[in-house]
Amino acid sequence: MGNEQLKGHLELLLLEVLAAGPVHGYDIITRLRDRSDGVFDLPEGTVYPALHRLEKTGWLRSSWSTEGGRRRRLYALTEEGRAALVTQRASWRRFATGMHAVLGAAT
Amino acid sequence: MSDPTNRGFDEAPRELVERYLDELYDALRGPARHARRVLAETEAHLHDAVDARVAAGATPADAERSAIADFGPVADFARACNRVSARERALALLADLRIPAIFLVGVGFFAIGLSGAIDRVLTSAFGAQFVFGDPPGTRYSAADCQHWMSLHPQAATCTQAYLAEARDDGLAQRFVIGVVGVLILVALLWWSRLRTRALRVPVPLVSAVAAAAFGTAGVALTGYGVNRAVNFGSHGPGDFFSAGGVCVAFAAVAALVFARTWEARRTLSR
Repeated sequence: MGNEQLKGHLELLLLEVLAAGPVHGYDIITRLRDRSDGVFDLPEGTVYPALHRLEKTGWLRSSWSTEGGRRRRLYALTEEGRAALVTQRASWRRFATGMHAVLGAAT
Repeated sequence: MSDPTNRGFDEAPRELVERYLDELYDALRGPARHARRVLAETEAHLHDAVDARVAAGATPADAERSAIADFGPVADFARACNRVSARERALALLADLRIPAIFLVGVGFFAIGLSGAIDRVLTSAFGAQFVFGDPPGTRYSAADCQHWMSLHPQAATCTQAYLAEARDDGLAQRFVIGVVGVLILVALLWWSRLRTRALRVPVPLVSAVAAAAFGTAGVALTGYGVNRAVNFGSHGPGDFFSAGGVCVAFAAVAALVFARTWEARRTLSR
């Protein structure tokens, strides 16, 4: 999948990864890559500005944690973020169903 | 051999990562807190990524190169981060300008009150017509005349009743606006003491804006007053002279303050 195509859905993907619990940036990227079987392979730096934007929107909150002497920023969904995830997930499913119907009919 | 997944920041620096962070530091803009956070997150991310690659069998040098390549070019990353902080910067600037704006409104209202006080003196000295009079030949509607005459039964003509009403209204309104201006300035002072810190008024900016605004208004109002005096004699130039005079005086004070603070800054920067 092209990076530009993926960027349009990055917010939903980040919210989805964070639905399982608080995660730091590097872990978010590895989980995204693992869960997509390597299909979603963005430049890793792309994720941080998106996380910061989501935090400013109020959908995420973050705090520092220290593990093995290394300070990491842990991100977690807020209640608003959880609600946004439900809405975006439903919207994406409607879109995907429509796309599938159209592409399926074309083949 | 040390455990690569438990590498602390006090170990020998990884040169490529350090260089990447140095370049990122130079490229980041916006509030210091945001920049520090981006740097700290990037540093932890790159070290995690290098650790993971070393644990998977890569050489340290290859691991660094690969981690940095996967993270993306410094310029792209910094640009994306700066875009996020630009909104924050704009909001911070607006917050910073709130107090100077309130201060200027307070000074402006006080200036209006002061011009009202001068109007009172001019009215006593030269009569209400000099300050509040309309050009000769101005016609008033019967309803207005009836209204003013009812409010000022001692007036012999509609014009006299109009002048009495304009004087009372004009002086009262300016007095109230002046008091509001003083209250705003006192409230700002009280607020700054409550917060145990000095008022955050950027003096050069505020004095420059005040000098420009008061100067423009002063020239326009005085010019209009002169025009009124030349064309209509004593019919109403006083109001414009008082307002214009106050504006010119405030502009002169603001310009003086600006010149002094500007000179002080230049001396400090030498």
